[in-house]
Amino acid sequence: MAEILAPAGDLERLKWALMYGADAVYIGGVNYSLRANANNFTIDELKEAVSFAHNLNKRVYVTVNMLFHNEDLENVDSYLKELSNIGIDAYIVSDISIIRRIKELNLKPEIHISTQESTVNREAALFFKRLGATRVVLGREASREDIIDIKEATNMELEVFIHGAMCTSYSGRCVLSNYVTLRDSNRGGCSQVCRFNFNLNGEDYQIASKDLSMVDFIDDLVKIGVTSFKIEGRMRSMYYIATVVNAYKSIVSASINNTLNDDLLRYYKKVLNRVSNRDNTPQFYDKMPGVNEQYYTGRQENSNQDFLAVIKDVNDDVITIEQRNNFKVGDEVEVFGPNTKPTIFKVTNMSDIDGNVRDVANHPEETLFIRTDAKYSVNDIIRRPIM
Amino acid sequence: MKYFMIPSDKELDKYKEELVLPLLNYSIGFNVYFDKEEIINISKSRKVNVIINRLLHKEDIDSIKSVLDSLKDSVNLFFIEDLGLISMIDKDKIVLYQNHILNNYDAVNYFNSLGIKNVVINNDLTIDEIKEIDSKTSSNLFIFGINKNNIMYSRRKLISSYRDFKNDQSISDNNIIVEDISKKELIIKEEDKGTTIFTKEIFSINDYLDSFNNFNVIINFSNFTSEEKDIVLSNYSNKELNKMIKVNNYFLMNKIIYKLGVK
Repeated sequence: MAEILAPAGDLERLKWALMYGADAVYIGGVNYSLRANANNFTIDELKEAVSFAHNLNKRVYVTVNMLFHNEDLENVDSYLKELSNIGIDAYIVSDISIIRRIKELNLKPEIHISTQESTVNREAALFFKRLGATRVVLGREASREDIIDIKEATNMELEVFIHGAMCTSYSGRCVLSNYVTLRDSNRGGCSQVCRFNFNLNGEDYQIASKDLSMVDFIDDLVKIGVTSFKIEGRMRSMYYIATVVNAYKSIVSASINNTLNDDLLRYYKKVLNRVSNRDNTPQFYDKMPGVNEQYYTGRQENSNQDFLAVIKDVNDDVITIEQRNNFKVGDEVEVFGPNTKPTIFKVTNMSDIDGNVRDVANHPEETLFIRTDAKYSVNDIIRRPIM
Repeated sequence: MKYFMIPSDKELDKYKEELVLPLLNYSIGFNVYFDKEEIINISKSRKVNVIINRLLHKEDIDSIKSVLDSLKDSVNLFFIEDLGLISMIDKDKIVLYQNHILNNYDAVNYFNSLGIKNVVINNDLTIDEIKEIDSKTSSNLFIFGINKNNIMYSRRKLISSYRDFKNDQSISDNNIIVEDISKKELIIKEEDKGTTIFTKEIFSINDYLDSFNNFNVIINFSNFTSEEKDIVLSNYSNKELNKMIKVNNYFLMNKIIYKLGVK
């Protein structure tokens, strides 16, 4: 089993993640998760999410992974029961008091230990196994040797982050946000003070980390026996999620089928670099991070305007699209989708809903029609060419 | 109530209370560390406890077993951060110190049921939260009662990398940094196994000790100035201590918001 595990901040993004190849999603309820300011899911939305995923034979994990203070304990039992009744597949937890409650209430969903516990050695993983956890989300500081050792010693399911933002600290071991901005990092309110500017000896200084990308080591992780390949980013856009999920699904599948080659990797590295707003590196996997794994002074985050449109309907040789960023007749664009391998086509014509011929698609979310011989599907994405 | 002291130098005679010694190679953020031979020697003349506060990776877990075996008869209590050590130390000797992680009475009580009856309560909680934990558990509680609060622990080398980036080898491993907007001053300290950040001012719970039933107070002298150290060494049990040093009890006083729009 090699599961692509995607984040989803709301129902729309959950559906895109599953459609584009995720085998499972992790989501947060309105309370008790570490992204307090994401939209998050109401109980009704959680029910819909589970029903949608299970109909596709896919799984839903719910984060109950904040570190609880006394006041947070009051209603958590009923919430845990409700999640179990809904039929979620696993709780992702950090606080040992939540593990106790899940066990004492005899609830069915699996227990997965959140990365907030920063588990990086076999004995810590075995501690959680003895408490009933079936899976550990490893700390992002775990090296290749750590991961192999934990896998061999515990035979637990291991979930490894493969893409997205990194904390500067070991997860959970930072209250900079609490101290500087009065927002609780371990209860979902992290203000990311590690990305703020500091002064050291009269000069600008930052401690911010570049992002993580394990694209070069997916084959290795598959061979080690990692169960779940986790993508960070419950606050990310549906385009980001669809793109990153699609890329890693393609790489993992190629690895399992022994068809992974340099051309495929090179292409998807470009895809992943284009969709990210920060630089990325493998961080701790193959070496200790050094000068190239951090930012030190102010940096500009890239604004991405690659996402051009979504295909909403296909009727013979006419596709109906919903515009997202400007493009024009004469442009070459790339289409990819759940069952559509990335292909380039040239836009030779365009018309709007009133039948007017259009040269430019420049109105946000406008419905437009394009005639083409190529075969595409509903929910395919049109983007600027990557190659 | 009992005091424990983490020294900031090796002239141990001036530290009058029970010692907690940072174990060399397995601890971080302190001024001085002690190897196993030193600890065994010190234990011949006074009661000794050891702190192991790093998160441990494969090479550490592989190597620490023999160190623990040789220390087990000499050390009274082991203050440990990494849950992996629980299987390697007699449970009666463990003081669990999951910094920033252990925040509620229910977690304390669950560890108690697992045989871990000594725990360090975080000092980044409010005074009311700490009192509630104190009243709802029978565990033996510890708190870093006088210290500079550790507010970040990273495996990264945040100063070395900056030195390389600036190509300036004169930048020290130990610095004060100032956050641009809040102007809060922080101590940043890089060591071989990572980087830690501390508040510049001293946290002191002295004003509240009478309101607890059951607390052992750890005084960590690491990162103190020599003046701060002299004052605290002479006055740590004096109820007027907080008037003698610059104290910042920010966490005790402030309820931390975790969801915008919710108090």
